[in-house]
Amino acid sequence: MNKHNIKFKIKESCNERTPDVLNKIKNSSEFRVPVKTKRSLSDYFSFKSFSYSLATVFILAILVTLVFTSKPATPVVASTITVDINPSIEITLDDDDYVINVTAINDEGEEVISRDIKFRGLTLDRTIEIIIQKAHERGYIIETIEENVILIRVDSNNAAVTERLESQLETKIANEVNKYAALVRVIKERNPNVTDEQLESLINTAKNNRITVAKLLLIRKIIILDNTHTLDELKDLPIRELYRIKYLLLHPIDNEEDDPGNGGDPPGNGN
Amino acid sequence: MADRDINALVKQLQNGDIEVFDDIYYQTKNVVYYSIFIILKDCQLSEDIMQDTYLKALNKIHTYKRKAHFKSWIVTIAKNLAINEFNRRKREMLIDLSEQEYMLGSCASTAENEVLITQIFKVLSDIEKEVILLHIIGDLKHREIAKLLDKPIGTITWIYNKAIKKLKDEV
Repeated sequence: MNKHNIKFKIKESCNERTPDVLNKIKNSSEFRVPVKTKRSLSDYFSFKSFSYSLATVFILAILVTLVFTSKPATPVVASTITVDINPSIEITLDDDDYVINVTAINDEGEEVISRDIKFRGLTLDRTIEIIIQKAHERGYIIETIEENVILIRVDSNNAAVTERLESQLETKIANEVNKYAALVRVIKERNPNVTDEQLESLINTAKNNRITVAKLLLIRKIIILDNTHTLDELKDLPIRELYRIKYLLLHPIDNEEDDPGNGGDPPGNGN
Repeated sequence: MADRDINALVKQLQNGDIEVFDDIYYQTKNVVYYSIFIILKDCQLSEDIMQDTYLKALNKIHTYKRKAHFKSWIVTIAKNLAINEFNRRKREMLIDLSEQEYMLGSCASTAENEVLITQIFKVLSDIEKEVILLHIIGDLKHREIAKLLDKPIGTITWIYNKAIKKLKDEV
């Protein structure tokens, strides 16, 4: 038997014999990530090394102050993504599509984003996994015959990047929601054909009402179809409900059998 | 999965994402278990210590600083717990110090892989067992094993080659 065969057989044998204690570990009351506690100064330095370190830091501080006057570089936001279920969440990404920040836009979003998780540095896919899981735990992903409707919007200076991220999000969100045997439709909201000033105004209105621009654009479409609806009335509704209202406005009900809520055709993409 | 991936997983765990624990566990369980088994030579006991190892590693996760390979770090915890348990049992005279044969206990195994594991444990010295298991099961490089065992890298390479030769002659 040659060296490679021996290695292979050892690996195979050991792999088969290693017991699996994962469930026992997870059932333990100690199974949790402890909160990182601040260490005292004495944990880091002896007095002598502390003195040297302090002197070095002092000299460096003087140099840095003299040489560098500009603020330290912060990560550059390359893309901004919003995800609306009813929880509304904004995700900013750097050039390499790693997460810079995840922000809750509304109260429901605050519920979903756990303060214990640091999203910074995670991939977009992992972030979506966490968000969908938390949304499901809190009951925002429903598991009935009714579809979940999730609205996404990608804002990037590069059209190719926008398209790539939209496609990635659509696939990932669908895969994650499907894990809970739930139906889902992912709607992509693009920038409307408006001037920069109008877009700025939309952004401000969305911010003041604690909703995303994508949700505001959807609400605007509903109000245009039926101006008896108001922003205040619609802004707290889940996306699923807003699409149902829009669908009903576009396809007035002649009889009860056509009502989507009774099992008829669900709202279509962009309808 | 590459070293960088396990480091990324550990970083996420340190940030509070407990969901990645399963991945870390499955990547390290073999080397952890056998690092303990070499010392205790008892399946059930090794299983218990393995469980303690992961809970302790989780509790101390913020002390892992990435200077060493994560597997080296968790194997150190495993070995220390195993040695403590061995010493405790020795003091309580729960083990026969003259016992050289390793005990299967309630380990389940097929005949073929049991023969190979038996030979590894019979034919090789303790240090040879350790090097073989850390390199083949743990996928640690000789350099990392040398650091973990506090021996020169040349020594580790020599021990490994000697161990492989012994096994080739026996199997």
